[in-house]
Amino acid sequence: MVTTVQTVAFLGIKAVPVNVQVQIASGMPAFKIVGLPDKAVNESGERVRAALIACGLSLPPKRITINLAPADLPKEGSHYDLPIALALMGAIGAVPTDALDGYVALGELGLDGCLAPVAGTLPAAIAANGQDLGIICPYLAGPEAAWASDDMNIIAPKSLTALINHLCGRQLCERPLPKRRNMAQNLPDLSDVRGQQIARRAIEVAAAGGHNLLMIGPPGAGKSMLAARLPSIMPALNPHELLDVSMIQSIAGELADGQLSDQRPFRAPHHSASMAALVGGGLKVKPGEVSLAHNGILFLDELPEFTPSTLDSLRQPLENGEIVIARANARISYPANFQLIAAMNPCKCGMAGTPGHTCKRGDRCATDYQSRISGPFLDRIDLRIDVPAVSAADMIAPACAESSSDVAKRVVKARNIQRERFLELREIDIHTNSDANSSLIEKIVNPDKDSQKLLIQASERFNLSARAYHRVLKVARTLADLNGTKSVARPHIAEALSYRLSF
Amino acid sequence: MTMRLRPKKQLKRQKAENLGKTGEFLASIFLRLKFYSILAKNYKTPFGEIDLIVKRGNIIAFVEVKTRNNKAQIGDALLAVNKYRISRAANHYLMNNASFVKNHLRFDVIFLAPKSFPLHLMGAFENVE
Repeated sequence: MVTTVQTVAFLGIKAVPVNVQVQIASGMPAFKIVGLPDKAVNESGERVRAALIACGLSLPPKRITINLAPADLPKEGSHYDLPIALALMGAIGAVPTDALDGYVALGELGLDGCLAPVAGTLPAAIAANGQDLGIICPYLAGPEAAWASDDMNIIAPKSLTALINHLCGRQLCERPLPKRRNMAQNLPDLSDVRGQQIARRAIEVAAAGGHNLLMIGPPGAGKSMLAARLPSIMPALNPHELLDVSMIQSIAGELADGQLSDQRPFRAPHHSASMAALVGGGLKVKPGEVSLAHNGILFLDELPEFTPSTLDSLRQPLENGEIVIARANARISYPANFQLIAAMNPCKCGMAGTPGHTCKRGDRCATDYQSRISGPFLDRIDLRIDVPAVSAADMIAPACAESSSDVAKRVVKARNIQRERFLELREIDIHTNSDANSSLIEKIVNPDKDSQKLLIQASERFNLSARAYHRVLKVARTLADLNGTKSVARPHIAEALSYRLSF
Repeated sequence: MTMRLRPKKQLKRQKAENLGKTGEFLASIFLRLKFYSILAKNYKTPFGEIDLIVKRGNIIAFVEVKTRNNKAQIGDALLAVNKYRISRAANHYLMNNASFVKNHLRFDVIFLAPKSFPLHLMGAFENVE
């Protein structure tokens, strides 16, 4: 007799169905797990045994074989405990086997039979819903699973005993409700920033069009401060983006209490980050910072301090919005459509270009420092601005700057204009100007004769690459959208060019 | 060829062996009282020995008997069970008695000590490969 329980394995953010088959046969007593289990899965035998004893069940002294099919797919993670325990309980008759049909199970067992939450519940629930199945998951992961669908069967028990009672119909578990993390109301506000009118304008443009931004300035000018205030002017995630973002967070195990948040991710890795930490990788091919920043912001402070190879590994995701991690044992693609915000000092001593300051090493101080960033990487940054030091007069002057909520209103307006335009063109996946490809951007930007002349002049004079040309058009389009004008005019092109050429 | 042991050590060894023999005898009576039939006693193979092989209904149990002078030594006694040796011997027995393969097989340990009821651990361990 073989009992089967459905569960999943994760390939990137995709959940692949896996069958847990249990056979209890006479013969030499043994307990074996086959089907390429890793260490965590192999150890689950001991946890399952202890949990069953905690529920008052014990395994018969028979030959017990557990197969995780398909057998050639490596199984990793601790979420196989629950399906193995359920299949065993079905095989020894502790729960009716027909109650287990139609469910995908995942969860980690404690020695006392309690269920601990596991990473990847949301993608598993979505995959289960796609196959018209229900899901059995730990109590704390229940709210996460509930996001998959309103009418699917979800059992989220606190312990194995509670699950047995539910399956035998003695005491039913409540269906979990989807939880949403409260929007953080205490985000830092833009009105804290004194002066820096150009930088304020630039981050507004960056937020409105999803453009990449590089801020260059001496220490203490407020670059990090400005970047930290960017989330407060970004619009909330739409439901489609929310699901994408949460799937990645779920795989990475970063969803606290199974609560989803519609706030855009803001990731700020330290400059000691390795390439695998940034783009993803490792033995289990986990998502990296770029994927965790999907549909949100990746803030790289002290840009030249990152290792050059790490920075250049960002070139592909910056262009494609996706990162493909190819290893000998896996080829996995994660979405990585992030907005890059970077900050740096102009030179090693940090003061180059400040009036009245000369570096001890002369001009080389700045050129050496800046040459750590490769040209192709810089080419992908649409907005480059100088953030000069704030004068004492600015600091003393009373704060009369705009607050985040006012700026956010303009940003949302500009984003809505973009969204409607792309919907008209039947490009459902594109939300912002920066996502548009080159043919699409040529379609939506019709520069008049005057601005065309300016564009030609600029590209000849400054040797703009084809990519740079299109990126200027994208920024110009965003500037026009912020203004609320239909067509892109000469001032928009001129402003867009000024952002590109200042470095 | 027998090894020449010092008389004192030889005596100690003999005492322990006698204790073991007595224990195995008592265990066989104990199992009979539990309606087991004895299939083999001291089943010897090149790689190990099984104290008792017993049968009841569909179950065949390979029994290791541990006898100690003190009840408190139970922990040490159970740790001293050589699972590998017994598993190999049990597999050897099944090869020679192929008709038993379809039965439920079990590895038991019986612990005996003076002034205490015999402790019968059913399914004490699993086949070690």
